[in-house]
Amino acid sequence: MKVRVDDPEHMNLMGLLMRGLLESSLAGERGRAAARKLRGDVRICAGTMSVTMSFSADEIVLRASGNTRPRANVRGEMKPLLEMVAGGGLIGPVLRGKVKVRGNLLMLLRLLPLIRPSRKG
Amino acid sequence: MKDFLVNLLGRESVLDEEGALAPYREDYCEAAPSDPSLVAFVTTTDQVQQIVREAARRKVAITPRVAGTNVGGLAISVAGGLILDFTKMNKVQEVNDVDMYAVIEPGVTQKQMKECLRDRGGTLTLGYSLAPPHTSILANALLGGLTNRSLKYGDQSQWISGLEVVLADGTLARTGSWALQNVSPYGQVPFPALTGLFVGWAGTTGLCTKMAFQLWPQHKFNRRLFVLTYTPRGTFEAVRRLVRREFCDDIGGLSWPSAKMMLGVKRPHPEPARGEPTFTLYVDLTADIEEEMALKQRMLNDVLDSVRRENERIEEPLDIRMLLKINPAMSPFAEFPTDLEFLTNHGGGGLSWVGTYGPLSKFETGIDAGTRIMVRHGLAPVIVARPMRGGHYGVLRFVEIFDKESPTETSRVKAVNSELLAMCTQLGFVMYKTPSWAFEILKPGIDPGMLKLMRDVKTLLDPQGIMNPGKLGL
Repeated sequence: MKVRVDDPEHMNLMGLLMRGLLESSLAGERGRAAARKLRGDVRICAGTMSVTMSFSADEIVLRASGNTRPRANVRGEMKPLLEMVAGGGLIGPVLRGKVKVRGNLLMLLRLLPLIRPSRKG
Repeated sequence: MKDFLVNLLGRESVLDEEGALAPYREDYCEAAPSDPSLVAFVTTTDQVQQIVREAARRKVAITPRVAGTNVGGLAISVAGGLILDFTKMNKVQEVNDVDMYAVIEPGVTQKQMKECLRDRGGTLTLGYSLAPPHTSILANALLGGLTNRSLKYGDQSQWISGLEVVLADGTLARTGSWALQNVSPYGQVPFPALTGLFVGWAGTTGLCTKMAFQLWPQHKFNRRLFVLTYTPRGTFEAVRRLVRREFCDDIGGLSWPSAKMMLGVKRPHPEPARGEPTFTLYVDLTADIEEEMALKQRMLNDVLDSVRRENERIEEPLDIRMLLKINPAMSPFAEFPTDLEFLTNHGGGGLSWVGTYGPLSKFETGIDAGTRIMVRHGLAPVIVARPMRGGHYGVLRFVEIFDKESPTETSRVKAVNSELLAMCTQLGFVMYKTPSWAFEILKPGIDPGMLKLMRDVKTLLDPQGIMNPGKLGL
């Protein structure tokens, strides 16, 4: 399983940050297991930037804009979103209204272990 | 000259073979390579004095050099010249913890000084430039370079409290308070400020063999926060307001391509992605008690709120520790000194810039104009813009990486730099660490009296013209 940025020269800062996070996560068994269960697109909108993560059997592709309708959306200001992916968890920010989610919630729950920092191989 | 050097220093400390001399032909930038005939590694002041006397006798040009990371060709010798390599003259001679100063030799690196202060208990610190950890503190100071404490204390030349210099006839001279016997190098006053004869002169007036400089207290709590902004106006209005509140240790601004390059994009597209922040400000805060840090963060938010109320979008400050958890590639910005490999180790080998000092009031205009120039040439606008010395002036620097093996890219960098220099000069910015090509362009605009004074000083201190000839257009 690998992470690929589609058109990296045009990718936004959020997408490039996410690439590092996903690569770290996939270095651990928890992240790899989570990625194996995911298929389809999830879009993250951080402030005025958006990035779409497309999950398939052998790779995760990051795009600055997705043409397809994603299965799930996560939206919020940059700081609460980054705090969430830095290990703060999804539930608290959602309950406080700092992060909004839409679409397939089960997919988002499956995504959570993948977007938590992991440094272990 | 070779026999003299070998007798004085030993065969192993003198280079004269083509392969060994090759790294000394050039530096990072597009300046034309030039072959020295000899490189000598010195370790003592006495050796430097003897070499200078012999070189004066034989009229051999001398160029001082340490890491060779200059981006203006200042440490490239004239063809056939002698390069004095100071990397092995690298002792920290003294650190005074009470009076807060250090005395170092030219080869002392940023990394070495940091480790030295840490080993002494970490009560003192200094600012670090954005150059790699193995670069010389003394060279940056003599060239008036900036550091990550320049908002509070100015460019690094302003911290110099005394110099020991070998003059062109081999005389050893001290400037600053320690010129008087048994007095410590606490500062430059009250003697005439002769240190200035060697600052900003690119080694054309003498060879500095020791530098005394001021150190600063290391506080218990340090926080580096990143503030993402979307317009030059919002960015630098925030900077101007922050500097007047006087609670930040440092503020630096980096344009959007810098962050992307650090995150692995070798050559970002010249235009930013849709919705992307265009500038990142890093704000350094320090404190000795937690309440002080909390208050400073509150003050930061207060200033940012005041700019947001004027319809400027500014993200909430992001702690570097949190960003590191998300992406370890941000680590070069976690701690200084740092190796920004995306600039220095990108494959093509070339790094150049037009780095200027000038008024904060003109930052937005300069950034808009500089961005247009770089984009027109197909370059992503890598810009460093930051306040210096309480905000009385600032740095506006445009950076290019390029493939040194490509004549097309080298020509493009020269063309871009010429345009950037003209634009910056017109706006009231002055290029620092001034390369010879830039000095020639600036010369017609420099006050004739100042130019005469510079020539007279040069003639007085270096009558035979052996000290790093060809620099500063003198």
